Amino acid sequence: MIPTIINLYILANLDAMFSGICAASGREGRINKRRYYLNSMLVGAAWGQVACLLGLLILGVAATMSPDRRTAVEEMVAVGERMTTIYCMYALVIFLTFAVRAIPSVDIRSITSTVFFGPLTLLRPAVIVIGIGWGLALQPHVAVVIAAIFIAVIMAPFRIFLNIYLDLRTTDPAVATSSP
Amino acid sequence: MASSELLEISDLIVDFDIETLARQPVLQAEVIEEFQRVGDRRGAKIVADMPATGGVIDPDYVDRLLVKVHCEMQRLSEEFQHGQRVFELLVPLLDTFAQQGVPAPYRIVDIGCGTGYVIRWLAARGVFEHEVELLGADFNGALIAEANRLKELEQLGCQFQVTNAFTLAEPATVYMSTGVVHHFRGNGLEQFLEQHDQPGTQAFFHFDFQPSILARPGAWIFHYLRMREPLSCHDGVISARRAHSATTLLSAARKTSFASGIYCSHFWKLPIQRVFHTVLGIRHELVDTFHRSLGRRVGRLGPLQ
Repeated sequence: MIPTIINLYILANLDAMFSGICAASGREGRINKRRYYLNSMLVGAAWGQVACLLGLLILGVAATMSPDRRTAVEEMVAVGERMTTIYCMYALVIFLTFAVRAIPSVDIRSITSTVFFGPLTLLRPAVIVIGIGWGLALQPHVAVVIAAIFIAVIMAPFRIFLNIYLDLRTTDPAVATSSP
Repeated sequence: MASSELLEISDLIVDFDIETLARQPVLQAEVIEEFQRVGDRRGAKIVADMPATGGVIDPDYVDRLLVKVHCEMQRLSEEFQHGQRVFELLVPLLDTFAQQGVPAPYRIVDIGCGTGYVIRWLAARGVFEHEVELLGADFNGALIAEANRLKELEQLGCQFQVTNAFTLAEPATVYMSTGVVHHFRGNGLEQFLEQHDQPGTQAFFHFDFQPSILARPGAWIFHYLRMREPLSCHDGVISARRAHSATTLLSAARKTSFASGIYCSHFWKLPIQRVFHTVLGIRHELVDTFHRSLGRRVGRLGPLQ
């Protein structure tokens, strides 16, 4: 159980940090933005902790409400293992693309955006749903199904939440210099 | 919708007196009617949602909006390494000038620079072997104010001016732009390029979208994924749709006194079109040296005529 929780926690944090960068992009006009993006990753990670806590809470409530708590936890772990498989594949593609992007060529870096990062961003919510769907294909107890759906509702639009948060923090739309 | 009937919101919600560059009021109803006339209901709705006083679109709102939109556009430029791309073309051009005895400093002017991303990138990251002056020019005072603010913030060695780039006291050695040439339609394109014939001007290059089957869906995906403002999404996709073909660009460029060609239209020697292509002009006497200066990148350059 512990390795599954750790794997999912690491994946959720990576997603939250990259979501932070995505949500903060296009809001800051300076050229040198290393610190700005580092801050945005931290903001993403901080909100990621909130999402993880909510997820744990949902799972805890689902396990408590389940008639057979032990079976429910076992089912959650099995669903989580399947989710991890899907999310690891997605994460692997992302990291391989970053490895290619490290090649100092304008053309290659542009291609990584056009062919990989753009479509992968578009696919992210679908990958979250597919991961949960693949896990639920094990047909667990209804409480686990409901918990998984709640978690999908938190994680799929996570970047939209971050965008709204950053929109609210930007007081003047013309001035985008404040750190996220 | 024919490309001649495609309208960009940012072209219509600001108006300047071409002589004084003073801001002119823009009537909201007239702009909405324009979009309705060409059947662009989304464009009409975006304009209708803008605040107005006495029928005139709020100029302060428009300024803030355009600064925000340019910030979003900068994100795409960063992702597609546009600063580095421009730098890699400038280096062989400047080497050519030096080898041919064109006196430095070389004045590089970005026409329609907006918030000045390219010029600021060149000032921050470009390591030039020759003395250069970097100047961004735009009609829009709000965008230039933002460019100057960002320049000051990072203490960059470049300038931004609200001016017509072709009426500068000291003309450019190189004129350049990004995503600007498709705004000039019909004879306007020829007139725009003819103005590059300034004393001291040695070359020009203009990056813009390259029309292709994938341009429209590609622009849609990227603008809807990366942009937040409805205006950014709308105009980004329209820009890609109304982009000039290489034939149109060359036909206009070859009416100037420069040897002109298309640079970087395909990836390597594969039949895969790039998102952007570049119309490039250079003085005839510099062509041979420029070919040598390009080195291995010479294959990216089409015939210069």
